[in-house]
Amino acid sequence: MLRALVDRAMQGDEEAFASLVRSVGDRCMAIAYRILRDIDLAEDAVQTSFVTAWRQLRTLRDADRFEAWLHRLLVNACYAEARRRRPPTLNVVDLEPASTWADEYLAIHDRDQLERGFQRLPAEQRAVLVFHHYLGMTMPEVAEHLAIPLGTVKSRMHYATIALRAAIEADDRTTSHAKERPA
Amino acid sequence: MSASAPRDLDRALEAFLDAGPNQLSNRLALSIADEVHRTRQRASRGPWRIPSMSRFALTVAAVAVAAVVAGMALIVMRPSSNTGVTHSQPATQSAAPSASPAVPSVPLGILNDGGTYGTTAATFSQPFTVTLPRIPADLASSIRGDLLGGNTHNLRIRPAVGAITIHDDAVLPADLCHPDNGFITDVPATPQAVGTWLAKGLTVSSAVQMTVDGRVALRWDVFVPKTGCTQVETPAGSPAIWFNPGEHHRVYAIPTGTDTILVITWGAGYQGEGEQQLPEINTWTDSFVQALRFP
Repeated sequence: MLRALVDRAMQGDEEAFASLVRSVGDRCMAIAYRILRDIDLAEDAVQTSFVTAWRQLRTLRDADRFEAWLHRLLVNACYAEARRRRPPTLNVVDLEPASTWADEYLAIHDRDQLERGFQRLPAEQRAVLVFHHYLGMTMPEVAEHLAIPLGTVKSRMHYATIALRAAIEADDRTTSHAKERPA
Repeated sequence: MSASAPRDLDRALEAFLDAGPNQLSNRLALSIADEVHRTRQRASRGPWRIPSMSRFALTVAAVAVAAVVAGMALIVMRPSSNTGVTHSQPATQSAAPSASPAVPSVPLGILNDGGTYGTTAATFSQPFTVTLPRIPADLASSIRGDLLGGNTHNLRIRPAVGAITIHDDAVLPADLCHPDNGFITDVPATPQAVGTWLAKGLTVSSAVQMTVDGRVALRWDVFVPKTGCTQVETPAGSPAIWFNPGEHHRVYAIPTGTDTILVITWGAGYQGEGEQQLPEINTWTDSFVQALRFP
């Protein structure tokens, strides 16, 4: 079904492309929001990626891989949105020895804490986490969809996890220091 | 540190990512449709598109080709057991025709690296066998093969990223930079003639000599100039190779004894827009070409 729509869209059929947008648009929106954590930026990235896909559809040599190709365009659009719209954030996290991590992770339940930690990650690391943890893809599948080497996926996953843990830990320390200070 | 800590973080992360919008709004869908309506598609074509035909003719041609080739596929790319070449891993066989009539390719199933496969005279005038070299993990978790475009002399092997294609007796543009300038009906007869053909419109590196099954083969790295190359919307033929401006490829010309076959690497257009992994694909293809045997 999807393949037939891709073939028709490749021949310039706008209705077929609109059907493609409806078929895979929800998933694209979900991915973009989760990478960018901002609904407006996510919508811009989704629109950009679909228009790019339409313009370049005839360069796609393997119609069976349309969705992986589209995901690649989408992730690139997300990176561009993250660079273009967001003020540069200080991506500083304390990479301390992990002696006290375990107990703290067991207590991770604060969405705001995760949100802050996640937003401190570079968009490239967020994308890997989203494809692996949200879409449930294996690392080789993530590599295929993002068109990056498997080693890069593993590396980004590794550093994202470390940075996320450290950011949460730093966040905890900040909170606890603030509580200790007299008003 | 407790062993369960990473799993707790994973679970928390999954729950965190699970929340949030999951729907494309109608407003955005309409906005995309509007912008698409105002946007022209690029005219470039992939190498496996067949020329414009009526839907009926396309369907009839596809069904006919699929019927013939599907039967052939059972023998065309089987693990070689009678060539004297070691057969280390069997292949998963599949002869199902393509789901879509638009590109009558026939999947040949998963090919195992380390496995030995052979074509027959029905598909390539000079049959060959090849033991697939070990492929880097970041290029593929699996390798697939298929016959393309209804032309049994075009075989594609696809890792997860990019592709390599093998051509024999194929209709090709006489000038790869100006594909509207007519066609040739076969691969040029010798590796040296292939080099001359490539240089007509492409930027071509110096030839590198390789030994393939005791024969002298040549390879070149080619670049399709970004400007000055023509793109044709509806070519008056069915060329097996269709390069786009700005692309890099590696082209191998291998004498088979009675003929010359081409092997080509592809990066752009298969995954995303880039060619980031073309160097790795090229390296793997060097090994692939050197593993070719002509019994």
